[in-house]
Amino acid sequence: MEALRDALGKALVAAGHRHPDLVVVSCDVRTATRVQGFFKEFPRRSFEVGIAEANGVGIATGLALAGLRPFLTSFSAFITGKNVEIRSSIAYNRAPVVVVGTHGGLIGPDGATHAGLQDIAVMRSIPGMRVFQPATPLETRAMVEHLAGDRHMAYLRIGREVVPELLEPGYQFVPGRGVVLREGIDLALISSGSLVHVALAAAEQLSRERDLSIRVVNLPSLKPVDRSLIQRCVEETGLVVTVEDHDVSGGLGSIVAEVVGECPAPCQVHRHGLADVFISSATPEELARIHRLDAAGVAAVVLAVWDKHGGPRRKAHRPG
Amino acid sequence: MAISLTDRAVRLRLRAIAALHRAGSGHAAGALSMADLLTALFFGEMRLEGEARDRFVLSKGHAAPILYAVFAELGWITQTELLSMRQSGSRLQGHPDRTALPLLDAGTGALGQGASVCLGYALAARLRGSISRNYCVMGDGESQEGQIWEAAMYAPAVGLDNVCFIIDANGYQNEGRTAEILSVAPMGPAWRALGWNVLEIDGHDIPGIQTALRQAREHRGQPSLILARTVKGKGVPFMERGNDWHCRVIDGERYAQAVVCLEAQLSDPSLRLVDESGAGGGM
Ligand SMILES: Cc1ncc(C[n+]2csc(CCOP(=O)(O)OP(=O)(O)O)c2C)c(N)n1
Ligand SMILES: [Mg+2]
Repeated sequence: MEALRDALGKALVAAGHRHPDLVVVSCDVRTATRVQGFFKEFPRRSFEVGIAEANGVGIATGLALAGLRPFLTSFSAFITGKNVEIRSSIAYNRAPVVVVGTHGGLIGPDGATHAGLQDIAVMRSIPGMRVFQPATPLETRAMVEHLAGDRHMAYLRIGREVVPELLEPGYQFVPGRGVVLREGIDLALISSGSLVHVALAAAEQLSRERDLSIRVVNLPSLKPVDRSLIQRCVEETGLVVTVEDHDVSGGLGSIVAEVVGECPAPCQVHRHGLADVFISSATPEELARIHRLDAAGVAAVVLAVWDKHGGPRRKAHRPG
Repeated sequence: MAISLTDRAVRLRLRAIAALHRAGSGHAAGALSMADLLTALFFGEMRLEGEARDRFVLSKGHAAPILYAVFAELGWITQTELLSMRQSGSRLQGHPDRTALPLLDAGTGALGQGASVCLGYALAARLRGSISRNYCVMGDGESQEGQIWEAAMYAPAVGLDNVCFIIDANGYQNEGRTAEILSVAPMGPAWRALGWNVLEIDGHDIPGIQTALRQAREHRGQPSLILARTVKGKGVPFMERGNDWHCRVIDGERYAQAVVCLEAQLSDPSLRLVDESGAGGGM
């Protein structure tokens, strides 16, 4: 178990040793974003710009245009809010900046202003911007290593929660590739980031209690997305539920629904996540319960979807 | 017996740390540094009721506990509600949310935005011929945000004189000293150069704050900026050194220590806060 931001911090230090062009820009939150380790290890390659995110975007752009590989770090809610700066300085210049937004999702008592719940939607709308989100510590390391050696601009979204490791040692992150974590034919449960382990737990619960065969898919690369994997889920299960700690408009649910809509086979998609709301102050556990994003909540949502849409197809697929 | 402003300020601090201790998270030191400023503003200077009531925007939204403490001290919310801060279902969000708590003039939390919102209120007041005045408290670290300077240019450019910004210049931000991270000094000359009536004061001298607020109110033709030199964590000695208490959890032991320090500053023990059930003894 490790918080993804801790994994991020360590991965940046490790990548910093291998990639001398890697630099980090922080906006007065280097402790909370966990990049302070990089600041200690590489003080000359670390830039604290203060509480001035717009200036940070411009500085990262200049560093990138000059040939360095900047990771621009802040809370997702703050940094992705600088939309016009990211759009015009970074994206319009094709400047190879990695924008890192921590505190994506249901963060806790700090409340709505600090919780990144629209960040995927805004960042994926920007031309040329890739959007990635790790589900586990290993995936975080793999992603940082990939990004450190790459020159595409990207948005890296990091959740605040402590999560278990789900991936095998040696896991390689490949943009545009998703991962099936659990096979199943009744329904595909697709998630990304800190909720992937919750989706797995819900699937296991439903397998035990209801004998449902649920496929669990992790989509670490939201843009580009693994279209062929989503297509396969459509063809092989005919029923998809997405689970995300983000608004269902513009986030993972939208991304999957867009692909499903372009598939020839019929398929129902249910998008589960935040629907047009701000979160409130509460503990992360309470928030997960309130928004039905804990394992029990996800299982209940999946079961309701299954009861409504799933029965007949199962009979067709699994006679007897 | 009327409660003196000095005692008010101590009570605000007691209320704020009680809420922070109960919440187990939140920003203590930057709330404490502005207790005297809010005392002078809300207990004497501001018109709090009626059509032409004055507006107040807490741009440094993380200092919400001290504003909620003002609401409790004014009797607008109960101490019990104050202690619900940051908990599930509470109207007192970690950062101010006016959709949950209509007593607030603006929701804030992402730094750098409140000054502009305050100018919107000021323009509306002028448009309507209202005498209401418009106040905004911001941090010195927060002053690094570019939008603060957009607001700083705008108000004098349009001749707003119903505006008073107050900078809680406590010298620290999240990661350390503001002078070392990104110095915005000398702030007085910078704001003056942009056309503000700048009043530099000791932000813990309540009569001095009152004088500055009056001078700001009487000043015509320019917006006013009160540059208040403060001590982050003021009132609780172990929070006054350095920046350790920007957002550190106040555990039971530290809380008890802080209450002892603060209660000793009251002119009369009967001014201590008792819980509302009447049980007495702390909160
Ligand atoms: C846009 C934005 N960036 C970062 C933060 C995180 N943050 C919360 S408080 C703080 C430091 C504020 O310093 P200052 O304005 O001096 O306030 P004070 O010292 O009075 O607490 C930071 C960076 C934020 N709330 N909003
Ligand atoms: Mg400060």
